Amino acid sequence: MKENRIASVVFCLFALTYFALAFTTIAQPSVLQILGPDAFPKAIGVLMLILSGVYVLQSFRGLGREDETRAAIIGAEDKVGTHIEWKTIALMLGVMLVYVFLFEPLGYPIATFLMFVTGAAILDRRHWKRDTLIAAVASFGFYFTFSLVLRVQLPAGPLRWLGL
Amino acid sequence: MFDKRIVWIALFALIAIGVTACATGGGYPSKALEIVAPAGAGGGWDTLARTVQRSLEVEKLYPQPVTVVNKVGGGGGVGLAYIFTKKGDDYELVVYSPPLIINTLNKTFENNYKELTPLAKLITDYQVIMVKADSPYKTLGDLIAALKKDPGSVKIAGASSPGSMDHLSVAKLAKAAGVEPGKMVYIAFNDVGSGISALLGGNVTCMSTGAGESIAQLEAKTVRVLGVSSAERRGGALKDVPTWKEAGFNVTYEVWRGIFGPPGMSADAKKWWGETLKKMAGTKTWKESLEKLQWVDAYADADAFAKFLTEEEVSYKELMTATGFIK
Amino acid sequence: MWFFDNLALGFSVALTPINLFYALLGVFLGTVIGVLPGIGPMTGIALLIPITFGLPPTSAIILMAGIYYGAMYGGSTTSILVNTPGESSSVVTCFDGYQMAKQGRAGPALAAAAIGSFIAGTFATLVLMLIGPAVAAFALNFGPPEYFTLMLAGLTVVTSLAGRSLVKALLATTIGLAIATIGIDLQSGVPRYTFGNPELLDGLEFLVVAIGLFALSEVLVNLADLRQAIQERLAIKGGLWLTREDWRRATPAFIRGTLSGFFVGGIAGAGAAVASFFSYGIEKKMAKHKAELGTGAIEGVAAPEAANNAAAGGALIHLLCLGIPGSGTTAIMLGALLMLGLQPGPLLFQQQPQFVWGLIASMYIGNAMLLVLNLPLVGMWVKILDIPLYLLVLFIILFSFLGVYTMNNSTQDLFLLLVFGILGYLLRRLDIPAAPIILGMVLGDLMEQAMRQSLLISDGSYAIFVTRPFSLFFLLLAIVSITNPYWKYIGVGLRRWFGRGAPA
Repeated sequence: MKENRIASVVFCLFALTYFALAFTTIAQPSVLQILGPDAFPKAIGVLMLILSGVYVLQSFRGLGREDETRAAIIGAEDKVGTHIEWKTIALMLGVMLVYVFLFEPLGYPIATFLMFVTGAAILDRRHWKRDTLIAAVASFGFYFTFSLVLRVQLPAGPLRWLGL
Repeated sequence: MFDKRIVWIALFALIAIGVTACATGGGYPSKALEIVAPAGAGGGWDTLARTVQRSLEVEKLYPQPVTVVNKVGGGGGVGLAYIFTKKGDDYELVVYSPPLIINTLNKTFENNYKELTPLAKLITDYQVIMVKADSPYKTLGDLIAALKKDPGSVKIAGASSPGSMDHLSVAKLAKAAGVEPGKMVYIAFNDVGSGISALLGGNVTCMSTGAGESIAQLEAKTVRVLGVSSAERRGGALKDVPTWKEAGFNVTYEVWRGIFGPPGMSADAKKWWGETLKKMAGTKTWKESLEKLQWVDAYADADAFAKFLTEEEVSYKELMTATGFIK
Repeated sequence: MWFFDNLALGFSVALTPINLFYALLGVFLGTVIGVLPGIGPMTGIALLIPITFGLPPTSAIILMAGIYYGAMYGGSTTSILVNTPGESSSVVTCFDGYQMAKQGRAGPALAAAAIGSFIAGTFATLVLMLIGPAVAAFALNFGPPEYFTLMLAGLTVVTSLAGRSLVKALLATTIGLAIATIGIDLQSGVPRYTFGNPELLDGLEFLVVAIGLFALSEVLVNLADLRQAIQERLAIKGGLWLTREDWRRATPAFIRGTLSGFFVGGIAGAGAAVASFFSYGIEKKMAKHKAELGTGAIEGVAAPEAANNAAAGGALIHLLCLGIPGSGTTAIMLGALLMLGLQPGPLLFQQQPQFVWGLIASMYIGNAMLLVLNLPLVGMWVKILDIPLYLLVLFIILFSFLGVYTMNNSTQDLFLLLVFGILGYLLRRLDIPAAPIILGMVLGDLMEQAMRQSLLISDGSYAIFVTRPFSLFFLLLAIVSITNPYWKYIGVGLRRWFGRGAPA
């Protein structure tokens, strides 16, 4: 499978980078050590190189057929379908990325409200009134629960100037 | 499924709360205050920040809301970077202790703490060295003698990585006694609990930790505290424990905690806080909290604190050069 | 009998209306904290300590213990319903709990989690009451060498988490181990793989990775094909309660989970997250329907939920009998107890009998309250699954981001969450299991530190791992556990060898 071939090469490169960085970026400690701070990273790097090497062999030469009788993958029982709605995924990832950027400047309630409303508009447009209400209650509700009741201060953004 | 009316009522209620909570008034302070705890909830910095918050609120010393925000990571570096983005903002405070200097000197921090505005030193704690109750080492002198004879035979446990307070305090003592700190065997544990477990399980020879952390075991007589790093004898459970000086080693080690404003805090705000913190340090709420937390009052005003910090930096520079943490 | 006298004293303290109220308040607040994303028992107790100022010590500890237990109960709810672990100890519950929910069996999953927690909590209380100090003293036998070999044995759990390919599972484990090396190295103070980024100095937050790999990747899978996902969703079917078949399968899992969790997480002090992984591995080896684990088997919920609560109870024994906090949460409780003027430790039982026995009695009461409180809630929680899928997806996004942000108040963590969400989605397309990454992260750091601590203690001699009895035992356990699947081949090989060697 093409995906597996690309992935195996990526893993190989990752392992190589990790292994190389263990030699170049980890400083010598100034205290007495039996095994230094670089020992484990080097060992993990070697293991990762071997395993990703085997993965490359498997994906390119079809060695070692996958054992379909083994139990399912934990936490994700079925193979993910190949059908992808790229537009939805790209739009939603975009929304989440913007959400991260606006999280502190706009404050939690406003940023979350916007994320929710935009997300709802992308995924379903039929119930916008209800969705806007839910977004408002959820975002402000969580903000007040955390900041006032639990005293876990979430970013207030412009609300800070209102003294909230 | 969703009753719209309920949702609307909830929304209006939220807005109503918001409007009534609006601030009024002029002059300093006219806005909500934010105290930065540069570590997670439950640690020393966080406890101090929340104790200050509580004292300001209960004693009505700050007329606006006071919030504590935890900026976790990098040994306090994340909090420092955060406060540096608040240059000249008079409504931000931050609490710190010796790692502020240590991590500036070893270049863990990207910002120089000297740009902060020291407001007051508030409390202090000390370091102790303890051994298991049935240990052959009866005094600090015994332990240091063994360390001199064969540094490898004494395994010293601490609850933080080398180059932090548990390690540097014992290195300071060793250096004063003529032991080369680089030859000591220092074993770092994740937290005080696992260090004490290793000590009681006989896996290590001794442990370097905060005085407050030793009291529970000391009272249960499972450990013997060989020395405390204060200049004078402590009271309470530690009243029979000699200081390092009394044991014949002329050093002290202080774990101070103080409060700072951001870089470029206005002179007005600095003056206001100088007076308010002094008032706070005298209140009943503050004193009761100190007693409960077994903290030692060490109030010093902004000027004395700034001078103290300069001395601390000189002392740490020397110690950390000797131990190889500054190259 | 001294024992019943003490217990009677305890109940006379715990059953006063005011203490009953504090127990109820504690378990209620704890449940809320457990369900809310990001705020685990540790942060929850730290934040609520100011409430205990001014309370009598017994009431204060009853309140705190209630919060502690309540949070451990509540943590599994979001794992099961929306694949979003609320705290590190309920990551394992996602594996089968969420699959059960997808098949319309969220009710039994939530009920099994509550019952498992109740059994384990009651067991830990019984142990504390009967032989607490002896157990605590025994626990001191576990030093760094024992931790290292125990973690080594724990790594063998990976074979049970493997999906269709062992190579892919092992590769995922090494990635987890590699992630665990990010940050300041505890033994030397040297930063590793931090690239000058101050927020990386403390390493990657475990829950950021777990929520990204599980919750956010699930969001992406749903978004990739929303129509398909809506079709696949099953309505709640069957009752909300366990069937007779469920009981038959879950009961042994409750017992195994309680015992292994208490030993690994409580006595050995490896913590609730490690304990839940161990118990899952044990189910995968010992359960009757082991092949179904990972596809929504009730054992996969029952055992880890029992294990993490038993571990929590064990940590409380450490705290009360030794004065040594066995976990982050108990460390904060120690601080609070000191503030109340109490010194936990061996003397506590003699000096403060009404306090200790009052607490023990209230732990029974609190556990019972939690069971009574949680079972009716099951009906309410499963209703959440009735809301339209697109709204559920948005709520999972909201929960994930809120939970991750509140841990460190860091937007960088939110970026990492997105990165791990995308990575989790890609891994699922590649059929690479994500669970071993989490396992590698949990065990990696503990294992490395314990090994290096041991070698400093032994002046560099590796013999320390085989000369100490418990360490040797765990080492053999690890070897048996790894080689076990291949014994039959060795047997066949030997027979062939001898068969050929023997003259006909």
